Amino acid sequence: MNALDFSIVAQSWPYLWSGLLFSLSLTAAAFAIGMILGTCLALAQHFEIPVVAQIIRGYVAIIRSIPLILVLFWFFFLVPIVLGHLSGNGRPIPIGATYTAFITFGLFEAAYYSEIIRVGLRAVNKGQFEACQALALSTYDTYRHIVLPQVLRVASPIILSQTIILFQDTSLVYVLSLTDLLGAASKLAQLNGRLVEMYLVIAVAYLVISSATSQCVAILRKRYAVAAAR
Amino acid sequence: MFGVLFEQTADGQRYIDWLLSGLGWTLALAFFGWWIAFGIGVIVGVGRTVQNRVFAIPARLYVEIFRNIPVLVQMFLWYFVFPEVVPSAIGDAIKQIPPPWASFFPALLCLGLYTASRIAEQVRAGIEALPKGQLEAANALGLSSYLTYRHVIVPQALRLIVPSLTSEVMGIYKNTSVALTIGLMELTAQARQISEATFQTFTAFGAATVVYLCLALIAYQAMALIDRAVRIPGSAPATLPADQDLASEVQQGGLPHVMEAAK
Amino acid sequence: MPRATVSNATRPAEIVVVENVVKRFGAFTALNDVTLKVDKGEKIVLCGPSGSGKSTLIRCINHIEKHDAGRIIVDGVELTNRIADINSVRCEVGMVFQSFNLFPHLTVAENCMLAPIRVRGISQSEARDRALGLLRKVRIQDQAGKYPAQLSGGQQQRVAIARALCMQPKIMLFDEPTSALDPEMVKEVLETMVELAKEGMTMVCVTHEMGFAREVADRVVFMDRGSIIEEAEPETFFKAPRTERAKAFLNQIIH
Repeated sequence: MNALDFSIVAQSWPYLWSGLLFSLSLTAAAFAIGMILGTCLALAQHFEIPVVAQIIRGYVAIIRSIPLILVLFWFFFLVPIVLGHLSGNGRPIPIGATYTAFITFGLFEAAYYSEIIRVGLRAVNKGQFEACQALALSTYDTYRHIVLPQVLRVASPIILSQTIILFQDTSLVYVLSLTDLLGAASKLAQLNGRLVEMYLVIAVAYLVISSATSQCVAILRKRYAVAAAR
Repeated sequence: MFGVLFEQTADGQRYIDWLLSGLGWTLALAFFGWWIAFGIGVIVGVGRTVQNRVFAIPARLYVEIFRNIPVLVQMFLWYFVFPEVVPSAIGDAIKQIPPPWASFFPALLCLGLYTASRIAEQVRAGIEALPKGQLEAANALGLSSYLTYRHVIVPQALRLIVPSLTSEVMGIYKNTSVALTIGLMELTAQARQISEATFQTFTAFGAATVVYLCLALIAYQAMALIDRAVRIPGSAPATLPADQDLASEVQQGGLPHVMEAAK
Repeated sequence: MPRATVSNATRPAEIVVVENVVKRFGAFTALNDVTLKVDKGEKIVLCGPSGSGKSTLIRCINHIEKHDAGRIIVDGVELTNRIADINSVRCEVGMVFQSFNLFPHLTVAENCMLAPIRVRGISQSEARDRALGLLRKVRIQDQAGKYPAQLSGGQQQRVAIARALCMQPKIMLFDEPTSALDPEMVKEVLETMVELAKEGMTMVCVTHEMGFAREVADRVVFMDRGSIIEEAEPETFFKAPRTERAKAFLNQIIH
């Protein structure tokens, strides 16, 4: 066993930093896409829109039953084909691994977030709907101003936990050879042969980020629980 | 559409044999990993709830570490880093392990220990959800802490968390696919290999997807069966407090809806 | 294991000695310098308004709550933080809770057999005989194979009494045993308790069942705001309470 030499990590810091930024931006983008789309999917199911609701249920069930890596492979293969069909000339349009990753994570997370929101919607007190009807609020206003804010507040701890899992899951873009935090470390490790140092350092980086974030979630949760109890 | 699966491969097998061998590794990893995870998870979960800091602090650390590092990074730690940081005699012995097993054991350890941290949190939630009177009654009868956990607390907590363990069962079989990054030819890896060999990507991934869906269905049904089998006669279905219940419901796959749609 | 014997501080007849006990929950003082002695075979009814500390007091007697100051001596053993002492005391002290606290995942018989086998170390068959015998005594032997959730509240509470008796305790504590019961089930539980009292069991009962107090209690102890305000024989206490607080309390529970 060679002596560990972490100076190598310090030298390659900028590259690792750019990898981390990629991981974080992928997380942020997937969160944004996933939340918006997930809310729509959840509402479509909630309103039982014929056919659409069934298709969405099938989509959510499949996405949640197969591994994320397989989903990545699927999208890597399908997205260019679908885009080709959409553009009209029928030939696949290669868009590269980066865009594939953003699209895949957005659509994948949408399935998970939609499930959180769907369950949250079901948990809203019936009295709230009745009160909205009594005030003659439109369906749009009811959901936009009364129901969804409540759902998001109740579900926020779970949404945040899911987002921490999402951040960890972004490391799987390794299979698309992208340069996220793990990808950067792995490429550097292959160049300089310092596998041990590289992987230990990024493990600690992931640990610190995820752990600190979940502590914040726990504090938020506690504060919210106290506020709710009052 | 799946016709290509029955064609001969270059090595004289059929593509479906590749897929089945992949399924074998996936199942082996998930099955043995689960028992490691369950054993450690229950112990660590109990450790999280005891007063004694000698147990509580290591248990907390365990959960923090194993839950907050991505599975893939943990996979690399076990595969690449572990043999380098142990004494060189052990490290060399590890490096002597022949191919499929050289990937299988690190993957098994990785998935077992990672899933254990998640199960530990479920166990803790289950224990904390039990009425305080159970502990008091056990104390009043003079049961020691060990006996109280062994005969009163843990049996009830485990019953309570069966529904949320479903999501962990589904989690572990899905995470087996991460083992492809360290060279284990499990189901997803075989699907990709078939796709590369035949250019029938749709078929290859489609077949793997169908298999994973079946696994999810089996896992879901098996857990529902267990839930019914361990339910205490006369009692309502066990439930966790509302927000943990929400979480566990959310974590479980959407399979019930598939079945609803099928009706 | 040497037991912390303090017999010199107790007269032989005294099985429970509570001396100057203080118990606080944060800023709230639940027990404020409480002293109570219970003789062997004595039946005591503790009453008082809610929050008066009566439940806390009996929960301190088997160390489910830790007292902050003062001494508690049960059957010659002082309750300290030593686990061996606590467990040896708990073996001699049976407790019945307001909410039964039966183990829902064990059958009625198993509920009764668990502690005798694991703590007392008696054999499975002996434990079963003892459990069935005591279940017969509380008139519930035909439910031995059922689970608690399959029984009525009154039946569950009688099982809880049998479970405590299976440890062959020297003293029984009852923490509002009938408060969680529907009115029609109160009687069956009280009858069981009366029988037990007539057999000479030492009992400390927190209860508002004044009929029960009249019938079996040797002493009624009235508590308010963490202190013992008044102690008297039941007849005296009910007919002529000395303190205003006891009068007010009696007025409330009678109406």
